[in-house]
Amino acid sequence: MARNKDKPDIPPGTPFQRVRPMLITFFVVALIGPWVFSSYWLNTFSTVACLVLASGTVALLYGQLGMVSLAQFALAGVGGWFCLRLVHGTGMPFELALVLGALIAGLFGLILGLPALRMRGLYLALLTLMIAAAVQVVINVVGFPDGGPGWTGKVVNGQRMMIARPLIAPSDTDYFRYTMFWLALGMGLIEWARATLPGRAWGLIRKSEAAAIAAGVSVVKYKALAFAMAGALAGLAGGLLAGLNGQLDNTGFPVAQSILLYALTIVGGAYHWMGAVFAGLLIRALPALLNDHGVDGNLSNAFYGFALLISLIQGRKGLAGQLADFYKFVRVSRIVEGSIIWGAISIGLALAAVHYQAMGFAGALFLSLIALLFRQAIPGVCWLLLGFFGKRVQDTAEDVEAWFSLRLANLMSALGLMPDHRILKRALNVLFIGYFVGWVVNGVFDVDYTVALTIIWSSIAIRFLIQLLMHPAILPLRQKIDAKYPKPFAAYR
Amino acid sequence: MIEINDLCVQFGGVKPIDGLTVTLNRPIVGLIGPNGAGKTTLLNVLSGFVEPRRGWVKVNGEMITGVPAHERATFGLRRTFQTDQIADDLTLLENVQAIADHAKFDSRDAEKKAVYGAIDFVGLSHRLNRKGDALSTEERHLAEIAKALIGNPKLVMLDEPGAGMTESESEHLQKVIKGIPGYCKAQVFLIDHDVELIAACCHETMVLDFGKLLALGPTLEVLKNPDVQKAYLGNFDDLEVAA
Repeated sequence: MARNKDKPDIPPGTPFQRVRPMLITFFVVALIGPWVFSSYWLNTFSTVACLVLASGTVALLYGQLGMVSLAQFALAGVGGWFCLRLVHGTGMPFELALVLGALIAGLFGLILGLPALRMRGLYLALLTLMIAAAVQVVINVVGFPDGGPGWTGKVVNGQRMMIARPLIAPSDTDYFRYTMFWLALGMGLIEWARATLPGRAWGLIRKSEAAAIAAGVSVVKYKALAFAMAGALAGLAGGLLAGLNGQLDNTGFPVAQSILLYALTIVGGAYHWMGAVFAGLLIRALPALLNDHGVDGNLSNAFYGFALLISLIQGRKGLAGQLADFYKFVRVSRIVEGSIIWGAISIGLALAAVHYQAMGFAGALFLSLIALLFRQAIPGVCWLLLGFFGKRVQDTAEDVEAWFSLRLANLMSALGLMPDHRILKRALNVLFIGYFVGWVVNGVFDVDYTVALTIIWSSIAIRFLIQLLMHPAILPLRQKIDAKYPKPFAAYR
Repeated sequence: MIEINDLCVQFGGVKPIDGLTVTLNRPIVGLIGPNGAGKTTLLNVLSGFVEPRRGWVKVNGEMITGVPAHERATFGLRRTFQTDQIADDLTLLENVQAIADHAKFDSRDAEKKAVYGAIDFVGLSHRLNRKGDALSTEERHLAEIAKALIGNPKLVMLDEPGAGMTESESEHLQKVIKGIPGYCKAQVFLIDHDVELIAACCHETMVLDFGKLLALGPTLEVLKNPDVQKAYLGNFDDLEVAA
């Protein structure tokens, strides 16, 4: 990328500054989620949160040290097993069992990591795959504890028992927030480590182990640390899954799931926390959505293969990396302006929806916000898909689009309007995003399709009108703000 | 001061270093030799990546043969590599800080001072927050040197720091290398193919050829030595010149 040599580089910020955006996101989701989702979807998203944490551990090992571990979901199973066993066996509080289960899984992860100190690449992947298979076999034979006697804690003939939800989170709503809390804690730990001493040591090691040794870094120690951390947090995710339903399914931790977790972490992006979020959503939320629409959720596996192929062609940063690259160009003025306009439109439309009794306030608010947030999404997706056919096709498509856009913009300024160089992309997006978001919310919120489509399209149309009419007035203000504040995410990673 | 006694390294049938005995005690020592002379192998022995078959090495009177590689860094042996090892997605400051994380300091302030001081010394204070992948080749080489200056080193070993540099960049590099003994009281051991750089920096130069010591002494004398010139350029006597 061409850089201006005289421009000062933006510092990456303190560790807290670097973890903050993620914590705020999780907090907002935990706060708003229960208002807009039904109980079924809340439980789905609790599961998603667990999977995000598990995916975060895969990303930790792969992104920081380039080590492929296919056993992370199996380690979640281990954590879940010990959590269940401890609660059934001793009646200890769920939180304590959760943490102890995580620590035991961390120990397993550490043992798993020992051969990894000498192995890498395909051999390590194969080894961890074997371990995942071994865990699957053991769980099939032993089963998850359900209140029975003996060390396995398995009921032979009789009523299976479930563990109670934690005292502070008995309902689905509470448990969702409870899971989000642990997710924020776990991912926060990973991100904090990345931004401080361990992250720097991992950086040296992944560049070259020889250089790291020459610099006095103990490669063994920091690889072991990564494996122990990844194991413990995967175990935590397993314990949270056990707490969600009070039990675990013997078939719930197959090898295939571990491989899927790894593949989708690559699709989501292993170098940014958002990648884990994408992975979690893809594994659990997308199949649930498809099922909701009467389509077999397993169909999504076919799509995942395609997505993995694209992300391998597109570069190793995944969806999250591309999104983060996009954020780098965001200016403060657009954030302020966007927040005000989006907020106003969303609230207005939500009030209208309530007035005409089309749908609830929170749902409509959420819907129009989503529509506005995603108004650039479709061109991005098209661009990604074109990338499948190679860089040249992508470039040609961009050239064609630019040719038309330039002429359209010239026409607009000839008509005395504020020219918009992205009008073609916007039009494309407006057309399709309505259908797509409408389809999603039709499933998630049980909203009537026409109502959803109306809300989405009108919010985008109003936004566009405001932009068209008010742009000349806003422009100087924008420039003033941008001159004062630099791009906030320019150093974001 | 580096003392090497009867050093012998063997990889299968190949002997990259064969019975080398030498004492190097000037502040900046150069090492030259044709390809395959055993230069990098000697550096690897000094930094602990290669175990000698025979012989020993002492630095400042302390025996270092047998000490594990990562402990040598704490002892004060620092080196750079032919291919620079700057992590692409860490900033320059983080790259240097990563080294300081594993060195011993009296206080946080001393650590900070060492990190910023080293970056300032090589002349990169204006690139503190630039990520590794955005640094130029020259800046990456200089950053490597900055990394090697952390933690009161006793011996700084530079493996071809001038590779791929332009003339003006090389001049700046000369200044930096000459300044190292004054900056942190470390002895500098410099390997390079750029004879101009060696001549400008080194008080003393040693020439290796096929694992054996060919010459050792003040740099200019060594460079004028006919044996050295022959080893570098070959023997012209039996050359069939076309024109």
